[in-house]
Amino acid sequence: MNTKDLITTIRGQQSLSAEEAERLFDATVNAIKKHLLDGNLVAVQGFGQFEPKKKNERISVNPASGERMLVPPKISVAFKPSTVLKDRFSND
Amino acid sequence: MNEKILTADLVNAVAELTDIPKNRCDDFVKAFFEAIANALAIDGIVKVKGLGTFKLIVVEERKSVNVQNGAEMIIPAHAKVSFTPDKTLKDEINKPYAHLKTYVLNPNAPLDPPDPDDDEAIDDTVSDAGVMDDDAVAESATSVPPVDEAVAQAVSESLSLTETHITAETAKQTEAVPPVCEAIAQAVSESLSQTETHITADGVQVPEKNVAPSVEVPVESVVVDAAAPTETAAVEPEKEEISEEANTAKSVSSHSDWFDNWEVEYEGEDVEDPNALLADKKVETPVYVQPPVSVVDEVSASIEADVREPAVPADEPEQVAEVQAESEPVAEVKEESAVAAELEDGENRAEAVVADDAPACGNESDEAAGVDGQNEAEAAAVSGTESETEPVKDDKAPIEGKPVATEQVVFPTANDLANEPEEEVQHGKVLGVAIVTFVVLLIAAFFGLNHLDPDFFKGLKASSDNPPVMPSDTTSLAQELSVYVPEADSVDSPDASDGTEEAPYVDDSQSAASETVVAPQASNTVDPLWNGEFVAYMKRQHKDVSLATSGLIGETTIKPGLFLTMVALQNYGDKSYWIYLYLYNTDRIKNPNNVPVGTKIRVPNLDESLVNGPNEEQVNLAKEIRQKFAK
Repeated sequence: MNTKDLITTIRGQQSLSAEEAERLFDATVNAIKKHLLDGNLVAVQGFGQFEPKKKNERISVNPASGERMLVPPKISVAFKPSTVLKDRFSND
Repeated sequence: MNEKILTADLVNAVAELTDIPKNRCDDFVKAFFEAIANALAIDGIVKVKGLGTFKLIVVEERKSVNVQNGAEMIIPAHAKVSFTPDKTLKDEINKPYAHLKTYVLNPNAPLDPPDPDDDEAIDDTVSDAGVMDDDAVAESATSVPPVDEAVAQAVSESLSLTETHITAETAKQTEAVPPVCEAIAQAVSESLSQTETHITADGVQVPEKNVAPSVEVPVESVVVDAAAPTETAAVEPEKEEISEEANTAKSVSSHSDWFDNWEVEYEGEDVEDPNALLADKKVETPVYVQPPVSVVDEVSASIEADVREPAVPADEPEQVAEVQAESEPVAEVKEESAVAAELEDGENRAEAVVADDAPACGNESDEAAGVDGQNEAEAAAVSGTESETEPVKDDKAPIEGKPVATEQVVFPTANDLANEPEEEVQHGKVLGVAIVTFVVLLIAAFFGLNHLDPDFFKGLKASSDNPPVMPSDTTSLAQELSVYVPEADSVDSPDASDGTEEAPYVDDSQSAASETVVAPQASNTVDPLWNGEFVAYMKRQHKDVSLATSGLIGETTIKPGLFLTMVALQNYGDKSYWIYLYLYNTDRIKNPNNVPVGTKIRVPNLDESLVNGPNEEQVNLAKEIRQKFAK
């Protein structure tokens, strides 16, 4: 399922114009992104939490060539599903 | 930072962004996540544009052991939700580290001390080189991996030019230079300590961060940059490092020219020609700064005479730190150079420079902009530094006359002295304010940087622990050049001819490999597609085995689920022979454990002594070779 289907589904539940739904969707994604960029943890009740995490630099080895490489540190987004969400799938 | 944003906060943010009533936003946000969860349950995968992909992963039940009591238990089947951030989100989040690149470590280096990061390494080499002298600059160019060879050569050429021109100074410098960075650092700190406790504190800091050694380094590199303002501007930052080095090279040459012209110009202009002359002067002032050790002495002497001077040196270390810290140190470097130049020159030139400050600042900022295309603020700071130096000079001029004169004999200073006092007095107040702001800026920048990337300074330390090796004279430089070039070649182009694929092996084995290829065993003709190392190994260890191939059985395209082992089993009768497929296709297969789908591999017709169905002897040989060549 992709973004379009998602918006359609939501519009089916609420009375929203296409334009409004689009705006709301963009705003939601942007709000999450903004908070993540600020280094904040975004916790959505009943769904899970998004957290920007810093991965330290490390030395990795190419198993084929034995080449050792220094991989720089990076920041990535980790998602941790809430127990509610997990249970929902496990019990099915 | 590090706040926990709850759904309500999210709704507020959405409402702000859309101007839609909060309750509707609330409904939407809840429906949004609910829809994702539902879709996950139905489809197992949801792609949300701008956010990422959610995927449902089913984990089957498995046995496990309770760690505390050792009882066996069964972990029931459950579902995991994986989230892969969207590319745009990932990039934006990772922006602070986006400039860092994976750096291939030197295979010959010992394992324990991890080599410095890409940028840092370059910074180090550059800065260290600066300490050493002109030669060192060239060396830095060579030692930095990504640099164009052309650049390196240019550097060396320009170096030779500079040497001829500047011989007088170089002689001094070279004498002073041998004491390595540390010696210099010590000298600096000592002189600093002499002046004031304040300064000492800074000096102490410097060694910690290895800043001290670099202090002078930047000066020189700075000098170089400063020397070639026009050219620098022209040079566009392709890679920052490269551009820097390129600048250095060019500037070195230009530097020499300047040097020649310097005296003439200097005399010709008094304080009155602001723009072009100022630029020139500044460019050249750094030149004087170059003799590091002697500079230190001068500094200390002058410092003792003046209490105010310390302010300038105190700034230096911090600046240096920043310079090293950031990969775009040029602007700061200039600052330092300016400061150092002023220090060294003591009062004479500094005054001249000072008089011209306003225009000079303009020039420098321009340069900085051209070079880095970055820290304009720092460029501004540069002007600040200049202004700082001024007051110092004001005081000194009247007080000291000219102690520095001894070293500066080369340059006519007398003229300047006369002119200095009046104009400087005017600038005094303004300069004071500028100094304060500059210092504050510096500190802020320093901490900001530290805060943003705390690992950076660690990295710096690590890098300083094993500083790049630097030959001390031009000849060795040339050697390094020559050494560097072939290495680069071998690494960049694993040639199809001998099939040598892995860079780490190139050094030792390439010669052997190429030999074997050129002069294959008398009895067997060796297919050039074989991995060169493999051929060499077989020649050493298993002379009786023929590597002859009689054409191809065919070409096979790797599909999902089709592995090298399967291909080997189908064509050779045993899966162990897959290693030969790899060794015969090293130009196409990078990692035998992960052959991308769609890779076309050649399946050669192999000799019976190498491949013979499930025959134990051949299978064991294949296993031995696998252990040797596929780690």
